Amino acid sequence: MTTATRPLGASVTGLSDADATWVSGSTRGRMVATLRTWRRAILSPSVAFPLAVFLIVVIACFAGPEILNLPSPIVGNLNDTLLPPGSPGYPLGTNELGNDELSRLLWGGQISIIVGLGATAFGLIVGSFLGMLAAYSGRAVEVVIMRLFDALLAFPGLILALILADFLGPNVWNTILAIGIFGIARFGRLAWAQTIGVRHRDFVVAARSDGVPSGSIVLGHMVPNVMPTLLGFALFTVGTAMTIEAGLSFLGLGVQQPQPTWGNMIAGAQQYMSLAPWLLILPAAMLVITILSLNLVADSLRIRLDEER
Amino acid sequence: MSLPTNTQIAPGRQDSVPVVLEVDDVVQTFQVASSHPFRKATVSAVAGVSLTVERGEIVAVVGETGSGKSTLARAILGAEPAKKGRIVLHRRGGATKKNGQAKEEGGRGIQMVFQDPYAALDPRWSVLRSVAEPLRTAGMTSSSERRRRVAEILNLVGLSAARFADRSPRELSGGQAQRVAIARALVSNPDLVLLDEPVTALDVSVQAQIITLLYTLKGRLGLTAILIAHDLAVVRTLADRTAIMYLGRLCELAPTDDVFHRPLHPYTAALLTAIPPKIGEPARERIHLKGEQPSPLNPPSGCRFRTRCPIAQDKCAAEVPEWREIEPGHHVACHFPLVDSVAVAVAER
Repeated sequence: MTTATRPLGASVTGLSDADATWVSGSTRGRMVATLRTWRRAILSPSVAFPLAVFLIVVIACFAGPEILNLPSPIVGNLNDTLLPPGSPGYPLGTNELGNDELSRLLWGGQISIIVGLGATAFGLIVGSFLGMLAAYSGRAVEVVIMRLFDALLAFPGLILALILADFLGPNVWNTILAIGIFGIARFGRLAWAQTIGVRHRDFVVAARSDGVPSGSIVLGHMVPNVMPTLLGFALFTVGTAMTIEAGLSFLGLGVQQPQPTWGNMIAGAQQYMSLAPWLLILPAAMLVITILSLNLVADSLRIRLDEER
Repeated sequence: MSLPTNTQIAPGRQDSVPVVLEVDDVVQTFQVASSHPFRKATVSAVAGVSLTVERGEIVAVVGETGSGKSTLARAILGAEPAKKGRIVLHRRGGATKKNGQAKEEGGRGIQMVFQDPYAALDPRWSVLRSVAEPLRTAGMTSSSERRRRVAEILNLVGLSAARFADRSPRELSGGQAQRVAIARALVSNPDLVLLDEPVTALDVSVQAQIITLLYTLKGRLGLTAILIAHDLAVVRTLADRTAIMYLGRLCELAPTDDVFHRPLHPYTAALLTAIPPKIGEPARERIHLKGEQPSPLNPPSGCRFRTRCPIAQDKCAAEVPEWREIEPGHHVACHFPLVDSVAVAVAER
């Protein structure tokens, strides 16, 4: 019976050399291994190629106007309206007000990308916070939050964003808000479902019954297990947000002319469709390329990381 | 979050007082939706179970699926506090916290080993981090101290820290993962370990390794544990005392050898005849139980086993059999416990 009460350490004899070396080491090896897994996944062609395309678009939009010393997208020359691509001085032509189309395309891309990423980040952060709160607190809080999500989901996305955008007034930040709020319910429900799944797993039961503080359980167990799914979903949502932004701008409720976005460029181009089809095709193509590359990154990354497990 | 618990932490008694856990008339019920639209049905999962566990002893709780043995374990752990009854843990040292209080110093003194080792380990945590978690809770703040303790405990369960501690659970085999889960349960030197079907999810060859490991740990550490199982062979190897559970109640509790050689409850006797004979042994006469275990939604009156009992009488339906100590240390809940001759006949080996 004496062994029963002896502190555990005392009943253990010495460690092997390898283990003794491990004890004096650090956790860096583990982090290196994780980073290596991610690097392998990102460098695989099915991820790297669409990622490169997306990064080229982003860099072109944000650094391009500066590097190429493009003219302002809003100060046009009324003598040079509706020039076709390849015209001297205007590589992609001009619009009906004589603004340089290349400049408009890149400046417009900035807005579209900012709105896409911003609205997604907003929905992700607020939605996952509310969703995890619903799953982790009492029944009353859960019911209130979940019915709120249901109410948000009851509106078709574009209609909800339309109402909000109309209510808030058209500018970049309000557009992000309007689209982001639409995303809250989707992220929230996903976070809720994922958290419910994790909180009944045995490792959480063990931690809770041992008295690990709630904060540590949420940050240590819940968030790391819930986030990968949410981030994967977020990559898809960026494309959706950009589409909605385009829709809002198209309807005149998003970012207003003359400040260009891909959405309002498409909207403005429709009147000149037969005269100057490039005004429609160019921003539409950019939108498709960006959304497609992001979705491919999201899809392939998920597959590669699953394979690594 | 203060976890609701009715596991009381008793003032630290001297180690010479051997009782670690007292479970007294514990009742656990659950409300479930019923066919009636406005009424909920009550599942009587555990209906008045009492037992004690002494220091250095392994007590097995055996029963078929739905007998309430895991529910009992979860109530003892505090994961789902019991609706009624008293569960008292007598801790080493001086912790004197009572139920309802937010946090006990140094964890709660009970750890659990789960059936599925992969569910018991966070897939995103390294072995080191998982095993060290109870140490953090117990207030070991120095990470180098934690590393040392984790290395020691991994050695104790037969894993090299250098090879395994930085792995993630998916890089472990089932047996290795269960060793890690056992290491996690033991690392903070708990007063009591709940082993909830620790080998059921494993391959047969691996089962033997884990049973051997637990047997060794019992000898080396004087492991105090409750072993939830339905495999009688596992119980026989590890348990000092064995309790047989049926539909939320204990039928019989006795030293393991007595349970196997002189069962007093007809259900125990029937279970024992279901063990396949060893090669070369003559086949035993099976006691075939009629029907299936009744639903805990609507348990039989009186003795809960009476609907399937080969020797049931009218009295069994009318009165709940008392929990009696028929012989020293041999408890049974039966109006007509098997007297020696009958017992020998049914347990004939």
